[in-house]
This record gives sequence, C-alpha cells and structure tokens, in this order.
Amino acid sequence: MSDESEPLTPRASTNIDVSAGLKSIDTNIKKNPHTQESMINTSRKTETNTRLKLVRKGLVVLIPVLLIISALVGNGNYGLLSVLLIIVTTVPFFLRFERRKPQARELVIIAVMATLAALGRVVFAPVPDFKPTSAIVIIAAVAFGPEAGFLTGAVAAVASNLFLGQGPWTPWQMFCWGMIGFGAGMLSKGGSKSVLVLSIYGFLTGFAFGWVMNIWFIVAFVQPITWAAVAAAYISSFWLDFTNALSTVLFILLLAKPWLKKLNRIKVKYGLLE
Amino acid sequence: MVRAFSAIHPAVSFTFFAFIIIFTILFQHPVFVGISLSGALFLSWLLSGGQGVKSGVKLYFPMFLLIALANPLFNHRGKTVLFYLRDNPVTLEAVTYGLCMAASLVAVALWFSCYSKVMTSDKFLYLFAGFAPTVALLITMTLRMIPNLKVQLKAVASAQQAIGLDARTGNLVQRLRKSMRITSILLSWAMEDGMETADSMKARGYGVKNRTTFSLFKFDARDGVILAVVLGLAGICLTGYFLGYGVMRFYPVLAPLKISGLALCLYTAFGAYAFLPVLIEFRENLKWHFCK
Repeated sequence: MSDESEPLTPRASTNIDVSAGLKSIDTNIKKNPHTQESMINTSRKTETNTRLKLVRKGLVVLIPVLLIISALVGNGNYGLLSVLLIIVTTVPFFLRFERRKPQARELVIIAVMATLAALGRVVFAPVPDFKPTSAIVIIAAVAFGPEAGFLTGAVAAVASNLFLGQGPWTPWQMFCWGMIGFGAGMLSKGGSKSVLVLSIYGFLTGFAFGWVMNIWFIVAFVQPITWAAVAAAYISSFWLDFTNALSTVLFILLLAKPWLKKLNRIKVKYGLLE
Repeated sequence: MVRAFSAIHPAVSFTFFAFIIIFTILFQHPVFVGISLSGALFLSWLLSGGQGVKSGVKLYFPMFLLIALANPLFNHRGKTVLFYLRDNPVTLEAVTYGLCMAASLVAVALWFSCYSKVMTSDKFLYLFAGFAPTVALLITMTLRMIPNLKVQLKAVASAQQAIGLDARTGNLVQRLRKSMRITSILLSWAMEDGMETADSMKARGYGVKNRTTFSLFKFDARDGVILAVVLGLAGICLTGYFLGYGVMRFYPVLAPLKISGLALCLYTAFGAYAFLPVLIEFRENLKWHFCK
C-alpha cells in the first residue's frame, strides 16, 4: 500500500512549514517553482521563527508581570490571575503543534479522540464526576503519543464545555486533561503500557484532576483563604474525586484493550506509525 | 433572534465578550455583578428566547447554590453573626460574599453561552486562522464531529437492536458487553470516516502553500464606531477599577455602597457597556420599525 500521508518529496516536507499557510497570497510562484519557492519559504520560515521566538520570550516575561500587577492592585481576587496563568502555561503546547504543521490525518485522529472523550463526558454528565473522559484521553495518548494526548484532553475539555457550560474553569480543565494525556503519553513512551500500569495511573490522575480543580475553586471563590477552608474544600471533594478515579479505572479496564487494538490496527492500515 | 449584534465584525464582538467576561470576574461588587448578570440575562433572552433563559437557569442554578452555600460554610469571618451551625458562626458578610461570587460566576457562564451563540465556528475560525490556523481547525473539526458521531451512535445502536443485540435488554454484564460492542463499532467508524475526511482534505490541497481563505466579514464604518465605543467604555471601567471603585470590602463588615459622582458615572459606564448588545439590537429594531 502506498503511503499517501507522507509528502511526495523531501523538499515538500520542509516547505510545509509556512506559518500563515492558509492565508498566504503569492502570485508569481509558478514561474520557477524550485528556486523561488525555497527562497520565499526560507524568508517566511525565519519570519515565523522570529515571531515564535518573540511569543516564547513574551510568555516567559508574562508570568512575573502578571504576578507583579496582581500584587500591586492586590485585593485578594486571584481568580482571573489564575486563569491567565493557566492559559499561559498551555499556550506552548499549542504553539509547538502549530509550528510542526501537522498532516490532515494527525488532525483528524486527534479530533476523533477528542470528540469521543467529549461525548463520553456529555453522555455521563447526569452522574457527577463519573465519566470516561480521562480514560479515553489516556488511551489516545498511549496510542498516539504525548502531544496527541495533550491535545485530545485539552480539545475535549473545550468541546464538552460547549454543552455543559463554558466558563473561566475551561482553561483549568484543558490544562488538567491535557496534562493527564501528556503524562500518559510519556508513560507509554517509557515502555509501561500494561493495563495495570494505566489503571494505576488513571486512579492517581483521577484524584489529581480533582485536586488541581480544587485549587481553582479555592482561589476563585473562597475568601479569605485559610488552611481550614482549604482543608474543608479537599475533604468535601473526596468522594467526587474518588468517583472520578474509580470511573477512570473502570473505563480503562473496559476500553484499553479493545480500543488500543483497534487504534493500532488503524495505525498499521493507514501507515501512521511514527 | 438577534440580527444586528450578530452581524457586526467578529473582531468587535470578540473584544466585547473578552472585556465583559474579564470585568465580571474582576469586579467583586454587588452593583457591577448585578448589572452584568442582568445584561447577560437580557442578551440571552434576545438570543434564544424565554426557553433558552429557562434552560440556562436550570443549568446554572445548582452551580449558583453550590458557590453561594459553600462560602458561608467554609468561611466564618465577618462581624455580623446570623446564626450558628454546629458551633460555627454563619455571618452576613460571608453570605453576601458567597451570593455575590455565585452571581458573578453565573453571569460569566451566561456571557460565555451568549458568546458561543454569537461567535459561530466560522467566525472563530476566521479570527484565529491568522494566529493559530491548525489549532483553530482542530477545535472546529471536533465541534463538527460531535453531532456527527451522535447521529452515528444512534444508527449503530438501532442496527445492533435490529440484529437482536439491544443494549437496553439483558442483565448488567450482557448490557455492558453490548454497549462495549457499540462503542467499539463507533470508534472504528469514526476513525475510518476521519481518514476519508483527511484524504479528502489532502486532495483539496490542505497544507499546500499559497492558499487563501475566503470570508464574508468586512470591517466597515459601523464596526469602527462600535469598536471605539467598546474600547472607550472598557477604558473607563478599567480606570475605575484601578482607582479602587470596582471592588467592595466585604470583611470584617460590609462597606457601605459608594454613591459619589464618580462612582455613579462608573456604574452608568458599566451599565452602558453590559447593555451595549441590547442597545444595538433595539436601535436596529426601531430603525426597522420606523423606516418600513
């Protein structure tokens, strides 16, 4: 079977890196494709790289700047600050993906896995914190790697919140599920792919998800923040976190084997092996 | 059905929503929260009618209760004790703060729901295609796939039912097994269908250089005026916030409401901002009514 997902020539593969690929308007390229294309592309490439470098530097500076502004204006309202910080933390993952100029097939695979994760969340919404989302994100990460895992989790959070209510918590959930996916991808890259390891990972991240989301809840809605209030929030969320962890394990036990088998088959069939 | 506000340029409406959401989170003040909440309710009524507001209330009321109740239960600061719950004082200040926070949260959620009604995925794609085309496309594709897969899920389930594998019958293990079968079929279908989509995208030149995007959005004079109004009012509100007017002191005792001239100006400016979409809409309706 010919591998259609690969670019035809090596030249084409380097040329894919055009930042504004969708928007660029160039008219006089047809005349001498080889020299002119590569010329334009290198100029664009450097332009893209400097832009990305600027963004990267901006991100590094942004966190202390935000903290300083918050300390100066300081009235104990950390909700907005926390949301901004979380957004800044997730941006590099998206930028990396953006810069790589992924193939259409990669995009579609992540979209399908994110859709399934989001649908699972919406379907099980009536049962609080009982959802297959984390499990599906973990499976996607194991099958397609850490980056795909992060994107699956983050996009699933946005997409499912379109049904369950978008809000300032969306970036936090994107971060949490993204990180669950990223971690699972790293874990399976390290060689531990057994259902047992994934279940343990799922159980732990089930709790971790709730604990990170508790931080958001406390930072945004509890004032003044005292140790007693923090403890109360963590104690009262225990059963919800436990349900989340348990459901994740349950769905990993149910889904991991058959789904990974199917996904691997798809990978072989369409030549998606990295 | 909103026409005028949905017709303005995506960049303008995006700026409007970004600021109103930031303000609603930032201003911990009963007056501002009240204005924002009523603006959001009014707009969502215009956008989706009474039914939409009703379902919104149903969706967000539990959240409102949770936040409003959680604060006085976790926090016992404040001087005015209302009553004791298991030896813990429940104070007026904590209750007020909880109510204010809950209202602000619901307002934010309502603004977000209005946002998703006004900023349809084509507008979203248009705005972010210049900045992050791949991620924007990824999100848009996912949003499209959800209803698609829902339909397919129904089709698969009824096909399974037709061959005697109804997932709703049998004992728990049997039901689980049949449900697993359905999800498994769905996964295969989604992947195969996705591959076809990807090949089709590739065949139509996805990722090839020198492609342009087409959009119907044009930034005209009216958009410029609205953007200027949005930025002007937002500037006033931000200045007021940095002057300390945006927040009210809740602890240890509720601070009295500020009603100086400057404060009143600020309330008016924020009111004008929050009701801007509604005003645009009414202006358009009046124009339509009288020019007919």
